[in-house]
Amino acid sequence: MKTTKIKTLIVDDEELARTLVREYLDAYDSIEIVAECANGFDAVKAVTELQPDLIFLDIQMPKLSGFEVLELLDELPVIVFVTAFDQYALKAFDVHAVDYLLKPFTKDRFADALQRALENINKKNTSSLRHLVEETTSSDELLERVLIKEGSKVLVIPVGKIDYLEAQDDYVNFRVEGKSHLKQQRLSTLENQLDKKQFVRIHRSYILNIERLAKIELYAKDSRVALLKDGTKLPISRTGYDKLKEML
Amino acid sequence: MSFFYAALFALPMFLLLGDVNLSSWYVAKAFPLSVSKWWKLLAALAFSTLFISACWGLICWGWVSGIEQYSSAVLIPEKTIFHFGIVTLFGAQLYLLSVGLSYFLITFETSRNAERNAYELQLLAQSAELKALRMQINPHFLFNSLNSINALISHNPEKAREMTTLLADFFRKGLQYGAKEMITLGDEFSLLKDYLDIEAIRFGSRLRVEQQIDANLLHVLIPPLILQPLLENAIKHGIANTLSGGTIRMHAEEKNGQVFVLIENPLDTETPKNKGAGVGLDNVRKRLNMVFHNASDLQTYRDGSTFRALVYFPVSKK
Repeated sequence: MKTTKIKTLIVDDEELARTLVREYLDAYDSIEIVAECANGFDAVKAVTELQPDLIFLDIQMPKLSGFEVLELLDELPVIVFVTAFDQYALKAFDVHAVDYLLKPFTKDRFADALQRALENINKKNTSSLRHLVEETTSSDELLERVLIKEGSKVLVIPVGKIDYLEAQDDYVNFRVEGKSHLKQQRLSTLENQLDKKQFVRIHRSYILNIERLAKIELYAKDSRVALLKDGTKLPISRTGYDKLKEML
Repeated sequence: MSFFYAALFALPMFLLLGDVNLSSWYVAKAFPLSVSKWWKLLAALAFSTLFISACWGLICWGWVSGIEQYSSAVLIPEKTIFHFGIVTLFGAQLYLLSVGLSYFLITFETSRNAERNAYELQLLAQSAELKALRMQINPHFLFNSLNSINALISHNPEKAREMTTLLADFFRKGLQYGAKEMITLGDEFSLLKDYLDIEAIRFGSRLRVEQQIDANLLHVLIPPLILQPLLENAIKHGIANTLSGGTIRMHAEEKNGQVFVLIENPLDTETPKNKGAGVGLDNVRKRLNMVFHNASDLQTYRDGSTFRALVYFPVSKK
């Protein structure tokens, strides 16, 4: 039980900002800094490989924001956000989940945040944070890109490159340029986030990028299939056909 | 002869009436059309018309009688027929006419005042808008810089001092220049240099700068803080959003009496387009148009992984 140190990750794109967190953490023997990351890609990789208990996470970073990093993680460590942007802070305090350090911050304020984080690590309490992540990432804005983690690598897929989506149990299969990518997500959630002018739910299990459609074929009486430009055939349900007719 | 008599009667009487009718101006002022109750207005008009025309009728009658009494029969051959009613009615009509004219003039005057007030208000609004537009400096820039200073204090106090001074210089110049209508291009670039020096401490080797500015252009006049938001955008999208940073290029030259300033930055093609960026650019465009009208513009180009902002405006010096 004794002497297992708290594995801690520092993620910030500014070196000086990382320096400050590292310096403040030096005073605590129970903390072990396992890595420092300057961007979201490295952060996802480091979390997957090093399994830290605690992350000090900046929000505004190149490539992936702090929220997007969390979206990609299967298991969430305890998070303390470190940011100069307070527009997100209100949201976080709403769910009473994580602590926020608004730049610049004092040593005392940092100690408070760390104390709270350590309590959460002991309680294994990250459930409400998941809630925060979903809330901030499933906003009303249209999805412009999809982030998928494969191993410790992150794929960034612009939605225009998606051919179609297929529901597979708890996962969604993203078909992109002839390849499949799986992500744990619900098809209905995605349906709401995608541009309705481009993506149509043609079947309970399929959402089609309408630009890939070559033609609609009659398969049997009252039963149709969508023939895509690459030759793939997808089933169309009756309501799906109605939606397609409306658009074409 | 009768012509002479008529003139002898009419000239002084009409001059008198003309003078008296000037009083209609005060009646019209005292009972403005837009706010007076209609019955008060009517009563005032009826009373003043009756009073003035009756007085005038009486004076006319007195004048005619006087002429008859004191002039010789040679001068006035026949006996005059004086109709008090007709004269009074005539006087009343002329009086009412002058009331109408007074109201017309008052309306004209008020509308001109309103126009001038509206114009003054517009000028005020414009200068208020200008002030607001100038205060575009991003507060997060300040918070992040303070955080850098916080980090520097313990392991590089000299650098912390340097950055504190740079921040102070930058904000002082911002306030000083922002209060002016126009500053020189040299002043604007010195403000940009402070800004870049601060960001260089924050971003370290990620921020690289190349500058090529025609020294002859440093005295050209430009509205303050026109280029600063463009440079801020360049750093935000070109440096802060890319993994390894990049080079920001600034270029200023003159061609055919126009100054061209180009600010260029690299872009990360995978980052979704920023939705809020248009507002800052619109503000710059608006301010340029206020000063130079159609002789200036801001144009932006996105070409693969490069973003260019080009500002041009006519050369003007102190």
